[in-house]
Amino acid sequence: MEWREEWRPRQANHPLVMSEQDLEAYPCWYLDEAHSIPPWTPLFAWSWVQGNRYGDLWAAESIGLPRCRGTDWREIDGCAYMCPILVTDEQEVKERELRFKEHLKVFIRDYDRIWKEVVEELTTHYSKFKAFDVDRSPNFKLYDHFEQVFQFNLRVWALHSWMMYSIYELYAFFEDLCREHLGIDDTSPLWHRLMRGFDNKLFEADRWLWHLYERAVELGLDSILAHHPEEQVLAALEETEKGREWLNEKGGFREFLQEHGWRLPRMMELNCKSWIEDPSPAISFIKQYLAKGGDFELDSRRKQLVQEREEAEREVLSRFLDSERGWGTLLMRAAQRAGSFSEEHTYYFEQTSHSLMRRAALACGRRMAAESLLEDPEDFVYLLPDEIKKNIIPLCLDYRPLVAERKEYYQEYSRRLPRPQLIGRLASDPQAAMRYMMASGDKVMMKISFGGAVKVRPELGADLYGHPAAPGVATGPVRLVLSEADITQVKPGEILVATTTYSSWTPVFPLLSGIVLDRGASLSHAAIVGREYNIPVVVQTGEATRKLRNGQRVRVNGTKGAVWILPEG
Amino acid sequence: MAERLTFWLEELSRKDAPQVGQKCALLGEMLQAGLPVPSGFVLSIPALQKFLVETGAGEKIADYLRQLGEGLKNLQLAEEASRHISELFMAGEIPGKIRREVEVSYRELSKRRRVGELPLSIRSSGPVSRPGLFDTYLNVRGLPELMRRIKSCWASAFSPRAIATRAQEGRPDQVELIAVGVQAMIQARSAGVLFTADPVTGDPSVIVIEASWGLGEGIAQAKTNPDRYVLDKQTLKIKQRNIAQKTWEVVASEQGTLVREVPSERQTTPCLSEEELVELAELARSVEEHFGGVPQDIEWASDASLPSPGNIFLIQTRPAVLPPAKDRTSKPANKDDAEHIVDLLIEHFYH
Repeated sequence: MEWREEWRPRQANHPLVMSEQDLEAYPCWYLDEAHSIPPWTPLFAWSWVQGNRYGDLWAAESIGLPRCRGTDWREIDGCAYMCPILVTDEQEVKERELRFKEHLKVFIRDYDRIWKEVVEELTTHYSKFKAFDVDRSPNFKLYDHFEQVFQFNLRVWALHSWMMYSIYELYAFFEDLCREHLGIDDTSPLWHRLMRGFDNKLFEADRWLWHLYERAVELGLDSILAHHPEEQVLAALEETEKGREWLNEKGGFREFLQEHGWRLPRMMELNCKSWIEDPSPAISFIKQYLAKGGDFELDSRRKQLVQEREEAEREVLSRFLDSERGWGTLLMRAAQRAGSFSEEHTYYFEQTSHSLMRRAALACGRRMAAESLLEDPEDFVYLLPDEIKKNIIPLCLDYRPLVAERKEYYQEYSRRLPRPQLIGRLASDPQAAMRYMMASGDKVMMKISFGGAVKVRPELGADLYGHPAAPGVATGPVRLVLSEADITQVKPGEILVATTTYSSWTPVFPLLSGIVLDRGASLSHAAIVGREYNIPVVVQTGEATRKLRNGQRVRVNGTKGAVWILPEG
Repeated sequence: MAERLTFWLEELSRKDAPQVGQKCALLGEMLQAGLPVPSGFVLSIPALQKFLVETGAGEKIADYLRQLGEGLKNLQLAEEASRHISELFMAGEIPGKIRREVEVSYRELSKRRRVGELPLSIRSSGPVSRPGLFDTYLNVRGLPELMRRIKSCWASAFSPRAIATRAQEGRPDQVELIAVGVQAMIQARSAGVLFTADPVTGDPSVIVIEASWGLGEGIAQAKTNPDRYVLDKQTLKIKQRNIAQKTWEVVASEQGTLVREVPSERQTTPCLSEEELVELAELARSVEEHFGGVPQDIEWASDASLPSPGNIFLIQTRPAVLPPAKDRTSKPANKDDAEHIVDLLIEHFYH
């Protein structure tokens, strides 16, 4: 096979970097575009391919996913590529089906117990890790802590995939059943009404932030918040009695941070401070709420959404025959959980785990920097775990030349865009590549990363067409968000335009009047949150970030999946 | 195993299916699990490849089929093509390396059974199970005849039905390679098929056994009504017994096999004793268990030259094709809602 230049990684610093042999042995590799654009730092790229690979294989094998052994992962210069591993032996497929059936049965019956146990396992470990003193522990203890936190991240991905494979399978089945037998498409308003009106852990954070804004107004702190830049707000508040009250009271800002501050602003990338380290993003959201004013709309809207959902449920269930309604209801409830799970799982899984990984690795970085083995503690992101561990005990290797080289490498590849979406044998035949992907029956890939084909409706005369992900119509100025830094620029009433959105951006949703994305599907983050905030969302437009400009006025129709650019003035 | 072209069945497990076909791979796995399978060896798919390359037949066949193309959907044309290809196969000389390996294996197999020239059964084994599409030759004896039948078996990958099927599927010129299984012939007193679930309702709590006199061909070719037994899978109690009037049987003869009328006194006699039934059902249960509880479709035979117990042999197994849940509204009484959802889901996504 011809090995194209654009497929070749510039460096191979660990065994999960794509090799020529990998290209020969697998039919096709698919870019994980939903997550790995822009490309990642070396440490995070390593951790992502390592963690997802282990998690997917472990989960697919332990639940017996019939036609898929999980997904294999490789890195090419900061981007992840994946390929499902198919089960081809029919005898084995049948065996796995039986195991899968057993698993799903229990999963449907005992979901609440199962989820509670998973959360308990995660939070027990996290509490232990959080209690560890990364600054004052001896080197060996830190080494041990680092090892444990990174090791536990594999378990986090394993449980993550285990839950995802199970829930999405049920969601996808209900979606097909509705489309094929009940005449309800996943782009129809009835479907959207059915899938919203649910609370989750991330909305708790939004609600809490909103409460903090209201409390600040109550305590007369609004001028401090409004007139100081984000990074100076806390110091200014510390100087006033009311300010200290706001920070330290029960339900105050510090308690909020302990509960919701273990999140990283740039997806789970390790080169950004968590809110615990730097609460500026949280302060910035509060400042944005201050500019908007009014009530927290999620709650006032929620009541209506719940009512609409209950009506939709009655409508959907009425389309089942009497004899089917029992299991129909059970399946519908299972599918409805997919949305909330998709959203809040990041809180329990990736966000906390990666915040803890960053905290452990940064502590190592600080010790190396103190010995002049690193220029800057933050340079740990250019090292791989083995390199970090090797240099905690004894602290003796001067990593500055290595980091300089990696940094240059990182800066070069992070600008190298776009990356090829398909590489390998089937790269020149996207349809065959898609068929291979479909043969795995992996619903997670299909529902999050690769939505169905977009229906273009030329009769609408729109400028962009996409997948209708949350219903409604809105008009407003475009706010392009190409990196997490742009999030703080969002003004009330704007239409957010991005490649994709991350769960750490959720608090900005109360400000928005609509969302348009290049990528995504019906269970993408923006789709779920958009439905709950009752703002129109159009995903998978392919070219919104290229076609739209900041400040341009657009009309977004989330029911039809179309976007119009409005004339100036 | 790269350099050898033939393998003993007991060397194989299902991971070898791409090399030796589903049928032989699963037979090997059963042997390894200690189940009674007639001993034998297999000519791997690379053996056929070698034959096609060295005789030049492969290229000729592909060119020939490409020329006829879509036309092969016509069964008459497919028949003519099949004849032509069969001639190409029969005219080709099996490469020396393959001949030598077959000869050594045949001699060894005969020696194991203390017979000069052991009678053989020869079956094709494709990478995908295609019941009834390829040929079987029974009671083959002697090296020259064995070599001839190996070629016929290879050629059966180009039976009129196989050619027409591939043309229907839009790949008329594709060469579907098969392996050939060579096993000691069981001189069967009775034979038949069994399912470790009800093939009509899909009920997994029963074993359904069909049996008729003579070689297994009788039932497979539906020439005679078989006896039918339904056993409880757990207790092995016989729940149902239908003894049919079995008019015809297939038996071994000098020229292979022949069909003859069953003597009247045996026509309505059950062709399995109760002990044999239970032994067979126990074996079936072990096979199913070995394959992770997946219901199996098994061919079996009872050896006329051996006393019971110990005279039952398993000739083939494959995952049973059970009826799809046709009516999505009908939930079996013994299933709860969660079970029913999962059944429908598997049916929807995986069948």
